[in-house]
Amino acid sequence: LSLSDRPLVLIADDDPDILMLVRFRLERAGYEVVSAQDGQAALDLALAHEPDLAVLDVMMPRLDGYELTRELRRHEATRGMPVILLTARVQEADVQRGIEAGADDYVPKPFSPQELGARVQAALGR
Amino acid sequence: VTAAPGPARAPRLILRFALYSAIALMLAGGGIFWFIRHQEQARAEEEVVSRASRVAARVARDLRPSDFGRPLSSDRLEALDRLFVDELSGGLVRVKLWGRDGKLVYSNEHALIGRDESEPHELENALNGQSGSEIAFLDEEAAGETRLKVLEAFAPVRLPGERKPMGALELYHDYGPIADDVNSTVTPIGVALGLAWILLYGALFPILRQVTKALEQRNRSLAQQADAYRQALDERVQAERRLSEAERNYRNLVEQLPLVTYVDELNEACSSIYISPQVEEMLGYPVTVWLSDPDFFPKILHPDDREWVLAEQKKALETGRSISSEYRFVARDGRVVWVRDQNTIARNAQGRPLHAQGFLIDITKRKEAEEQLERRHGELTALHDTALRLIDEQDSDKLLELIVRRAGKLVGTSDCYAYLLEPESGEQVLRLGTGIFRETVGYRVRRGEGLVGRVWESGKPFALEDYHSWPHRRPDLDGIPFHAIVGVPLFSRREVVGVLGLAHPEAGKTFAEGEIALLSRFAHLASLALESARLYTAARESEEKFRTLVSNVPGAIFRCAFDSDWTMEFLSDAIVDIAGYPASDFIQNQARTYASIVHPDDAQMLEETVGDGAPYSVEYRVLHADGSVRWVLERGQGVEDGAGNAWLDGAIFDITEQKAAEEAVQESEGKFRAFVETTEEWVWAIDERGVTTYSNPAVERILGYRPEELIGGDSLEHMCAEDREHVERLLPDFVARKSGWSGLVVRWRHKDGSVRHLESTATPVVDASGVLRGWRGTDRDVTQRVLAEEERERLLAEAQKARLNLTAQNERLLELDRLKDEFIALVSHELRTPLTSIRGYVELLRDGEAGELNEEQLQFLAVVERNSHRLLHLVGDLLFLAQVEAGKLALDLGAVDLGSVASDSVETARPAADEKGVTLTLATGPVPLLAADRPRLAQLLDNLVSNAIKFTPAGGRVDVRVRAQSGDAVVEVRDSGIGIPAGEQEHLFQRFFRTSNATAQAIQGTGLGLAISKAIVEAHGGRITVASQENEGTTFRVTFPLQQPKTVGLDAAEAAI
Repeated sequence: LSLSDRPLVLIADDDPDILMLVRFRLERAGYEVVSAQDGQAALDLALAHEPDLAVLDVMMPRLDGYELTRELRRHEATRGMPVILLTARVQEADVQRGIEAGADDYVPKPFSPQELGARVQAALGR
Repeated sequence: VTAAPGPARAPRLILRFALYSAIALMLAGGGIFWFIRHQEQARAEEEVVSRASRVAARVARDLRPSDFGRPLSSDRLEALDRLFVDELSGGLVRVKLWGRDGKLVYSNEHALIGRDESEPHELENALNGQSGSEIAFLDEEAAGETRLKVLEAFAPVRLPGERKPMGALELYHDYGPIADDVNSTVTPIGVALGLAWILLYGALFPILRQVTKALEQRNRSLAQQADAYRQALDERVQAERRLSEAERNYRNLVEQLPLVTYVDELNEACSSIYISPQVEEMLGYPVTVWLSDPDFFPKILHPDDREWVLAEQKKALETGRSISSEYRFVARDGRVVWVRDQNTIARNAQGRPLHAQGFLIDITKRKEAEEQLERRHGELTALHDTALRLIDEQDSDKLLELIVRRAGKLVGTSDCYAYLLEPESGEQVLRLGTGIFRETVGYRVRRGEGLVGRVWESGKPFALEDYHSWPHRRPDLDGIPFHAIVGVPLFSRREVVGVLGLAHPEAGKTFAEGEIALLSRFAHLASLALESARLYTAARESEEKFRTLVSNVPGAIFRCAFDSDWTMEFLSDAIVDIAGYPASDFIQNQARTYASIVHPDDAQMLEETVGDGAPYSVEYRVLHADGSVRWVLERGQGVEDGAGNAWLDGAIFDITEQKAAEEAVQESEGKFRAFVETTEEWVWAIDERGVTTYSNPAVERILGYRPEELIGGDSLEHMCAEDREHVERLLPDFVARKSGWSGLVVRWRHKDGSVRHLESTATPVVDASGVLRGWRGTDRDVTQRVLAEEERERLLAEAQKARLNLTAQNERLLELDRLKDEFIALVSHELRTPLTSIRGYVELLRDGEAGELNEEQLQFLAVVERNSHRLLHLVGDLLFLAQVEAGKLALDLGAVDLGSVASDSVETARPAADEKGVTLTLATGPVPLLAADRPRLAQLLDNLVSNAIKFTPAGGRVDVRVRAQSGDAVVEVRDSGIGIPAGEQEHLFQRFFRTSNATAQAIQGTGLGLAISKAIVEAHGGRITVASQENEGTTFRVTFPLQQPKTVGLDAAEAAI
């Protein structure tokens, strides 16, 4: 558990490069970050740390982004947590699926790290 | 055995015989002929020679020795001519006179004189005094003359006084007359010989034939004998074979027989030396017992037989004869065993007796049967005597008494009873009892009750040894003192009509089985007698009844004469009801004749029908007294009474009402028939066996058969086999329920072989007593309808099949579609993910997040960023096209102002145009709003405008125009660029196609832009065209229909969800 008052963001992506990119950007922006490389690990982290926000890749092993979102919405501790989905699938149907699963925002890949930072901030600012 | 000579031999024999004998006869005849001929010739020659001698002697007197000197003077020649001239006759043709020197002295043919002799030998003989002759031809000496066969004769010429001949005379005698002479002698002989030959054969042939025939017959009989012999031989072989077989069988048989074989010593006790083991089975004593006791045989003989058997054995011993006797043994278990003993004395070669041997056969069964037969014979004799008495008795009561008495007598008891069935109560009543049963007459028994009831129920004899200890006895008979009792049934037509019985009042006395059987047989006889008596009574009663019956018959009974008046001898009163006149009017024609009331039109017919009085039945009309006409039916026949009078006996019935009904029926039937005969439907009737009894003519139109071809035949005959089976399965149900059917469609075979579908409806025909007599119905040809239905079903099935196919195909397509989707998603992910990292980190670097960058570093990063952007754009384009191709292009339709879209695009592109020095203009006219996907339209216009700028060199211009034109919204993008070669324009909208100008001038591009543009335009239902002139410029023209059907876009949108 972090004792800092900085917001805790959970990030999950199976691509370590992207994971590092996002972590760098968000830590620079002043967030505390925990990260996972698959959906199940992300769920465990979320339940353990109860982060303030989650940035989740859609295509991940074990649990994909949609399933993970649904899982998070089922648990009391994470029910109200904002979730931003990252995905290379930008078709209308994919976006729709994400919203239905309970995601708050949907950022298509490739994304600008700066823009992502802005979106995170926006989501936490609500 | 040799084969019989063939019949062909005999004729050949005859032929050969005839040939040989003919040759022999011919040779003999020839020989005889030749011999005679030779003799005749010799005789003729001799004659000529003697003539020569005679002539020689005569002329010698006139000849002079000088004549033999030469030459002759002409006078002398003439003298000699005269001398010989007389001789030249009678066949003598030439005369020659030879000298001793061999010279011809004289000839009547003067030319020859002086010649030398050609045959000195003959002449020499003549000169030596010998006469001779030879046959020659005259021309040997005189060539050129006629060849004449002659006989030459030489004779010596002796002059008087001369011893030696002076010369020789030669005479030529014509051979012709001689030959004739010879022939005339020989020919008859030849003819006679020929005749003799023919006669001989005529006589000989029949004899030969007879002989031949006899020979043939003998041959044949010999052959037959040979056959018979052979057959006899075969038979003997077979007989021998049979014999040996029989012998074998016989031996087997003997070994199987229950025989006891024995060998006894020759003593009085007949002690056994050997006895076969079967004896134990027969008598119970084993062989060892039998052999160990020398006196055993007499011991087990039946006491009654012992004496005579032993005596006989002794006698046999003395006389040495074989004996066969039948006697009894007492077996070990006390049974009496009858045996037949076949005994023989065996002797040695010298004839001395050795021992007795033989066999014993168990004949107990036979003996018993014989005894039984004898007993039965006695019983039957008794029965026979009784039966004769019974048959004579016609009075039922007396008969019953007789039966009871006789039954007692047969078995030897006086206690007898007879029950008879009383039809009114259905009970057996004791009608007659003797002895102890006298008291119980009138006693009643129901079926199954007590002994009598049981006999009644079973129809079989029943006997008890002690009635009073029988659990089913009738207690009310306890007082009657009897013990053994028996009852036997009395039958009438297989029904038990009574019970006859006997009892023994004494305890311990029972009825033997034989006695019961005897009583049963007697009861059968008694039954017959009772039945006959009953019939007699019934016949008498029925005769009486008949008399009263006649008057109640529903018709007039009559007896009349065969006359024109039908004079009535008797007429029953019923005639009043028929004719309205009393019967007495007609008797003896007292008031009127019966003929007078017969309808005049029917009178003659009636007379003809009655005729000579053979049984007849006739319907005719009579005139009723009230003036009406009545129909009557008369049946009758001629009879003769005892006095020899001929009568007509018969009955007259009033059938007026039936007649009327019949006519009504006929009328209605006529109507019905007319309908049935003309209706289009096949109307038919069949009987309960399925035989067609009626069919209307319509069947010919439907099935091709005429009604008469079907009537009387199997009604299902022309049904198609499959359906026939079906109908035959249904029929038992129709029969059982006595029901008809309707709407039963069945296939039939038309006479021309085609199949017809007939819809059948039928109702059952049930007679008054409720018995099914068949069906009547109609069949309608529904072939067209059925075929149409079948066609419809077939089409339905086909459609169904096609639908299934389509579904399967759809599923395949869906599967392909899904795979394509997955592919697109995968590519999208796999391409974008690395790009995300590239662009993300470049951005971090550029933003100085990893430290400040110098100008050059930033410039380089810009290159990376630009190229990553191109890559991203390319990925986007590819995915877009992939979506289009998969039909997954999703349009988010909205109301779009085309002008504003164009304006946005132009403004977006303006910096690039300015940079390149290209003039970019926009002109928009009023265009109604389009239903379109704005981002897509923007993409389209961006593509077109940036393309135009790209391919337009500096100083050129790009003009964009938007306007509405004849129902379309039109966008034109015109440039003054490098243009597109005409040959490449058609490929312009293909993916990855790049014009030669573009590649030559190294203008960047993927070749996807226009393909995407075209896809967007077409997704909106529009068209995109190009017009270009190389080095002058290119114009792209896009048109969207303003009244475009909404469904185009919506379909695409729906497909995307």
